[in-house]
Amino acid sequence: MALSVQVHSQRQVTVLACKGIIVFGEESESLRALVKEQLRQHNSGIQGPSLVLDLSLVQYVDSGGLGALVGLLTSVRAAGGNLKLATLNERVSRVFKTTHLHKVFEIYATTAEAVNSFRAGSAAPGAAVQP
Amino acid sequence: MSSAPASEASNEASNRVLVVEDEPATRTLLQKILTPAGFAVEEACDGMEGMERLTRHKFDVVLLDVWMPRMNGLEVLTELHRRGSSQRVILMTADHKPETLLHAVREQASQYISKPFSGEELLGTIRKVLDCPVQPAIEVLSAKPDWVQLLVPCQREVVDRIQSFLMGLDADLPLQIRESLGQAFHELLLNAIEWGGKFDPNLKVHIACLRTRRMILYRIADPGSGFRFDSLKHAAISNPEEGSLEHLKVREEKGMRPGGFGIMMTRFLVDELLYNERQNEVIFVKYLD
Repeated sequence: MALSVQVHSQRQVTVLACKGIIVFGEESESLRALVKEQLRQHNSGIQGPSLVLDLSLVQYVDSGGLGALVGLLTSVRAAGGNLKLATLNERVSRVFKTTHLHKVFEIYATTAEAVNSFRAGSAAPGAAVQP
Repeated sequence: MSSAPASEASNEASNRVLVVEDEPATRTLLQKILTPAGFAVEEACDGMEGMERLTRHKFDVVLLDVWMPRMNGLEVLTELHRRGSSQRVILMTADHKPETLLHAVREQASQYISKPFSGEELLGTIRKVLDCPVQPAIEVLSAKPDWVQLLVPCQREVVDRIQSFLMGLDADLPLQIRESLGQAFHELLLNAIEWGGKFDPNLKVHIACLRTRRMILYRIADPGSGFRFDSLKHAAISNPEEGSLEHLKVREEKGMRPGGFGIMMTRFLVDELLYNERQNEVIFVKYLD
């Protein structure tokens, strides 16, 4: 199964709803291209983009996919924005915990909570609600 | 704004699919899934008719049932292999017997999809097969259900392909065990192909899967010169503390893609993980009781 991404805005936060698998190769490349496009659009602004990856329909993330997500997080934060994760299934959540990346990303139980967290101010990594 | 999978954007109208299936209801269902997705579909009601069509026409992919009258799907695969055909074939079956799956691997089936499946699963599998420019040849050294040995080329495409068959062999196991085995196998085979084989299709990775009543053991041997854990500064297992991303700085300096989580992930997924002295061979074990 490939990866498809639907992009929409909620309260000035861009939500990327992913469906499929995030793995090394074409799948993670397509996600990287979409986030780069978001960075390009915010290039002229003072603040970087506020992004939420809705992973509710992501069945699986491999180590290459994790690497791609970390790369995106680094790029977005370097541009003055933030990228938060929402609605991880049990399998994907386990991957983040075993690699300790749940302490690096802000992870929320629902997309709405992730979107609202931008209004409330950014929490420290690892302080977010774990699914 | 939305982004569809890259392969979906290609012109699927030009892709011809042959459905070889004896159940009329299943053929109708497959037509309903494939035609709206832009595929040109032809049908054959058994293996014999399927072979006749394959002799006369070219198809981009064949969806092949296993158990059919006159000529079954495994016989079709054998005949295609005997003719030296490079026809891409997806085997559709509810038969998870190791003998069936291993016969399919030996006769170079492209992928295996377990019945029942969703339209989405089917289309995803077809796209994966169509996106693969050249089907990597898999050499079956042993096809005993409790002792499978394969020799596979160092190509990225081989990972999903061989994973679909080997995980089919474990269809009787609980989902969580199958997921852990599948993920560990995916990570370690990808490591072997990428780091040991440098994605060189002329080099081979040796895979063995042994199953006993109490455990499953996988051995993956790559053609590389091995590595040392103390030189793996680019891997997450070398990070000094939990949650640190030190290894990513090393990867960036070396011009490597972000990643390096594979071994760390695998350690949590299996019960035993052992490397040989040169560390170009790895064994992992999952206990079943």
